[in-house]
Amino acid sequence: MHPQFRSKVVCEVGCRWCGQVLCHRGMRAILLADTTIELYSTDQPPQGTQLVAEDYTTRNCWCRIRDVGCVGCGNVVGYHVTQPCEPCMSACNNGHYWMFHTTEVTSTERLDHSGKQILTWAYLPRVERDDVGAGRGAWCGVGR
Amino acid sequence: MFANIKPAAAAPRATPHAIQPATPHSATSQLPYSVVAWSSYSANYHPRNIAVSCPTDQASRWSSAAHNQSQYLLLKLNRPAIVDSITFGKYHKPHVCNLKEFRVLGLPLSPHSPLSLNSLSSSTLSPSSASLLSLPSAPSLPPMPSSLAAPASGGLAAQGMGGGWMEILRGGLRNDSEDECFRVRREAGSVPFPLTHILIHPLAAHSPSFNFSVWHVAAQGWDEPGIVERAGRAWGEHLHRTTLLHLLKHLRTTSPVHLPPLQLLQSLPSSPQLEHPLLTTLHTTLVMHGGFAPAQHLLRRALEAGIIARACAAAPPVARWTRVVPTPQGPWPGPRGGHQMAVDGASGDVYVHGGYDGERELGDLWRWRAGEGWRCLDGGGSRGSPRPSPRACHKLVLDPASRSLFVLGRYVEALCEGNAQRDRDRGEVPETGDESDFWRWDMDKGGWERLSADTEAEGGPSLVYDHQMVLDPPSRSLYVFGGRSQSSRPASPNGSHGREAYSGLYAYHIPSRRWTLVAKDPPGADETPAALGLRSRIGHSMVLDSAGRRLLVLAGQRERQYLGDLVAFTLPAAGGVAGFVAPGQPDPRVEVLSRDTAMEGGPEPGFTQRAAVDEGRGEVVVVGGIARERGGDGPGVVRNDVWVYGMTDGRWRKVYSGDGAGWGTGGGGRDDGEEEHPQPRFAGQVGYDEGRDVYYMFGGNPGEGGGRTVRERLDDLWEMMLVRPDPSTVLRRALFAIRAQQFREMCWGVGTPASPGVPATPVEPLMALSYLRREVAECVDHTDKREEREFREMAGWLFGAGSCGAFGAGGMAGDGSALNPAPTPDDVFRSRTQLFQRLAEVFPEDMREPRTNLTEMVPVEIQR
Repeated sequence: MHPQFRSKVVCEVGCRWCGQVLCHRGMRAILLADTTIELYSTDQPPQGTQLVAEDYTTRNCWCRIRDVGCVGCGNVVGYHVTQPCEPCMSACNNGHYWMFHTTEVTSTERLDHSGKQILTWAYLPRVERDDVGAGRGAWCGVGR
Repeated sequence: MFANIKPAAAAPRATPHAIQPATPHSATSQLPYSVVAWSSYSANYHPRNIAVSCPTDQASRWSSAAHNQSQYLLLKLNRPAIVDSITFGKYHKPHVCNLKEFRVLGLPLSPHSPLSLNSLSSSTLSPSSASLLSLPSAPSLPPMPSSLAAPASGGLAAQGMGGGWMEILRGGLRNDSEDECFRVRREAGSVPFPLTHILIHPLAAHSPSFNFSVWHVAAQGWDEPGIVERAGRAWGEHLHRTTLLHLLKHLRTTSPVHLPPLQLLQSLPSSPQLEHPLLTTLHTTLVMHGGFAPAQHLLRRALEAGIIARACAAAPPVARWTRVVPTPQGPWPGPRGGHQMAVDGASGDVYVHGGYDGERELGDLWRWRAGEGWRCLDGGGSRGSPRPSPRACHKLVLDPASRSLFVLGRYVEALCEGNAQRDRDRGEVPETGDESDFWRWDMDKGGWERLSADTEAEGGPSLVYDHQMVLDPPSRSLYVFGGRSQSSRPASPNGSHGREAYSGLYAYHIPSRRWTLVAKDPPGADETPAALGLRSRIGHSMVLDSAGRRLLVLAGQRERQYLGDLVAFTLPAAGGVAGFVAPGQPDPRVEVLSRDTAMEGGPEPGFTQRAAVDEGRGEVVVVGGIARERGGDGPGVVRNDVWVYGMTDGRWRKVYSGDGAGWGTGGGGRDDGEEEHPQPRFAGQVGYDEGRDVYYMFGGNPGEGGGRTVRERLDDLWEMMLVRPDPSTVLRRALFAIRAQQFREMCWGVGTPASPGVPATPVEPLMALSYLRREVAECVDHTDKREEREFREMAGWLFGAGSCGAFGAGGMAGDGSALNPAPTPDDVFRSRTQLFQRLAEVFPEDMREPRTNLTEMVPVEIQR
């Protein structure tokens, strides 16, 4: 990971509309192709979501993307980059292919094991070791 | 706005026995309701939200907390009402939680319910109606339909039996922002029923792993107390009569000892007329007294009274295929698909033109004449006078007034999407032009005339393929609809031309040779099926409903989607040619008759289904094509099914089921040993000859697989007749059945006349044989293989073969002491009862006992 992302705070991302927990490994980021757009990104398929409909591209770049819906309410809360484009890949990116729109989600800072310190990406366990993110820990908000 | 259907009052239908008020004629009103029960809800998506329409608020909806098959919403109408239609509102954007599939059940006003009649305006149940066993605070809800948990099982409620919950709608919402209004079932046996409750049962969301959401529900109908009270009373009488009819059948079929209570039942002054009096007499005569001769007389009377004719008119026809066998020396057109066919109504001549044989396009023109065979009218070579280039996926229409065959359009491989792009990338210009040439064949003189070198330049369609073209005789016009445009010219300002566009609707006035654009493919038709206007397509069917002055467009393909809709386009009343209505506006000429004909017993969404019209009977016959597999995304199944659509009553009936050939899996045809059946195919052609009352089918593509190659095409010619039961044949068969029964009883030695239970003296075998040879044989159509076989097998009854335990196993009729036990009185009764039930079928449904049995409806409680 690029050093500039190591100090970023890890966020818990939830659906603004139904409260469904979407992801425990969020990062507040800006869109490479349009730096005026803020969003949350994450590095693994978020457990509270499902891909919906078909791939498409936007005017910003040539990345092929697909909408991500919240399994609680079905609202589109973000998108997944299914095929990144060359310019985006060569830019300084955080390697995340899953994005949430800030208008569709709420976010809280994730605390570390002590429950007192705000967790940053430098100390975030890898995906396969992150119990919380895998939905096995106390944070698992979905019992279905 | 309403996207689908216009709610309107239906015309009353007369029924001789059920004398009931029909659905009211007055305008419908919105029916207020409250949501009284639900399976679950998530977050703040409370079920009450569905009463409010607020399409821009994502929260203004019910959303379930699970996506299993047990989710529901129970609505209680503030006042009982005859519900006419239900409108579903949606979010202002597509949403994965929209219901892709759902059903709606209605709970009719029960004659036994304390809700009925006296308390029409009361909105709560009276305390006295609460169950004595339930807690005082328990909500007073109606019993839930038993099929809720297992909707596919088709329980009693699903079939609407017993006057309980009835399925009044099964449908699906498009995943778009348009409100959708559905007409619901509001009558049973032509009697409208008022509802007290409505239950919405989601079956699938647009994305399978999401919960179900319903944004807004509005019900329309009639709730004026006077109307509802009258209907409720009539509904109660209808239920009463139906119950009695089932009781009658039950008593009749169980034992002869029930006769006295039966007669009492029918003679009660309060009892409605249950069945036709002839049937009552027939039962007593035949079943109780074994009066075979009087029974035959009763059936003859039924024929004279026109009763049998009425039953025949209501019965569905049966498709019978006959292959036209080629003569060894006669010419025969080669195998092909994507060709064209037209039938000359005056002479019965069948014309076939062009097509694709698996390797190249064909340009030959053939005529088939019954009794004479095929004749090649034009070989289609490149020499000699100008003629249409070899082509497939074009259209050919016969105009009897000008004695012409009109030919328009063709598929050009070099111009199709991928190939054209490849050629452009290589800097190559396709050799074939993209001009839409238009030709006429002179049926009297023979010979081709080119009417136009380029119809696009004359305001007509660009070069299209898999479009449709029909003749409208009153306006002397051809209507051309749909097809894919292959023009390489830049899109015209009105957007109807240009590469890869779908072509709109055009009219060609034959005398003036002028083209008019009537409607174009509506903008946004790719994104949403709810786009306003006539959605263009390829591989569809189009026919003219001359009585209704409209074009009917069925099924077809758009992008990768098979369509399953039936759309009507109204033509000007008489003589005039339809004018242009700008796209993007609601076009009042377009009416979606069905969004998915498969839901109404019609064809599955499909491609290259072929349709032909029988104007005299007002019927459209739809044959074969490629049908989408239920829930599948594959290329589909090649089938050879036949449906009949009634243009006046809007009813679909499947009259023939050809086995499907899976794409690439082989298989095909049917072989039941008795009759020949055509191999399933698509891209074949079908035409109707009114004079001979015969449908022709020629050639087509059987699809790959089963040892077939991609190049295989068919060259078989078939005749299909829709055999309709004819009253005198029906009577003859009925007499055959009665005499067969008499012969059976002779073999049993029961003798005639006798009352059940008293086997009479044995009949001389020779006497029985002579009865078989003379009386029975005379009622048999010996040319009908099945009947003839049945008749021949009957001789075996004399020697103990056949059903119902004849005596004298393998030997002569004896005294009953042989191996097989003698028939009991019960055997005789059962055998006659079965015969009676068969004979009752020659009476129209509303004059006879029901098909269903009481025992099938009695709820049996299973202790868990």
